[in-house]
Amino acid sequence: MLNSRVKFWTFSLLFIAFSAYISGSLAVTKSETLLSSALSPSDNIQGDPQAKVILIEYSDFQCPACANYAPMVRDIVEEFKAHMAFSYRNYPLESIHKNSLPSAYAAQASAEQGKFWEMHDMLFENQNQWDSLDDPKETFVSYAKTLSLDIEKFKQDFESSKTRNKVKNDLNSAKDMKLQSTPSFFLNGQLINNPRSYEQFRTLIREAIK
Amino acid sequence: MNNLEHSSEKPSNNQLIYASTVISYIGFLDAIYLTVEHYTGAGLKCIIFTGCDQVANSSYSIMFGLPVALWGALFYLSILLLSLLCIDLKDHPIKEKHIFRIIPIFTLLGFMFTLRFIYLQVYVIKAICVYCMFSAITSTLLFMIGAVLFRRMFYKFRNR
Repeated sequence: MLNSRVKFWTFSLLFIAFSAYISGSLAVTKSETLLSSALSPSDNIQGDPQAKVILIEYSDFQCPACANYAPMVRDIVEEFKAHMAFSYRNYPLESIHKNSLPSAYAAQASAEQGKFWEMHDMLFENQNQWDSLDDPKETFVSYAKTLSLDIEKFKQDFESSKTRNKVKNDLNSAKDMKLQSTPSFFLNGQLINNPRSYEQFRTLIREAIK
Repeated sequence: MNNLEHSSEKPSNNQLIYASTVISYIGFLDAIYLTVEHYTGAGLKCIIFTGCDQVANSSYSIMFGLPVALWGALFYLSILLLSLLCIDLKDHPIKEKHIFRIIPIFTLLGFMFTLRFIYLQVYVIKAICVYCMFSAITSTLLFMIGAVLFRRMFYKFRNR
């Protein structure tokens, strides 16, 4: 009797532990996705484009996780800008974020006046203000005013085919690589697991610089 | 003996326990997957919906200092071990006296958190994580089993 109970529990607990191990292993299976398109002049770049370390982020201005990562990435770039280049590429998840495309256009239109990163920060910092608007364009125009942009040019660039093509090209490259989520980071061409802390991020960059 | 247990239309308590064993086992594996992903940052392989990482990386993915997924894993493991204990105890009176009362309390708690997480995904984070929705289904099924067990025990002990 006791023997059968011991067997029952031994088998059950071993089975549960083994299944948990398999399930955990599936979660850490590393992706081997490689970057499909290298850094180009059309990219928005911070740091030294000739640096040994290139970090590229595929992101969506309406994605809350991307907004959480934005300050961390900004600090990383600030700390390592002499040794690395960072580029932001658009992966607007339109199916779940209705204003992801217009926000990407707003950032790209600001890039035409040399203020991509300022608009990038403003969009992420104020995400809650515009994410549920039916038409966020006026809000983006107000951000452009705050950044002292030429408003007429901003409006033209917002609608221009150059802006839309840049966003579309980024989006297509993300789709080609079948990226599963945002943000997705490529460090020297290799998709990495998203760092969970500033320290983890820092360690990754330091190791790449060595 | 409880008539309900022998009804041909309604599942017996033992059948419910077998069902809760299987469901909590599946929920446990799902939660372990999410927990490991949380700590390693491997990136969720999203299917059907996009937005798994938005949910898993949101500020709501931490509760009382631990990942929600880990709380989920502990919840499912508790139900799983209690269900296994019921199977092991067979007709021991402690099963109906105690375990059949504990399971409904656990499943009710799990269901309340499930409702909160569905609300957060739909209205606050505005992204759906398919793994979390799968967990919502398993915890809802467990809640239904817990509710049936609670009802049976309530009437059984009240009528004594």
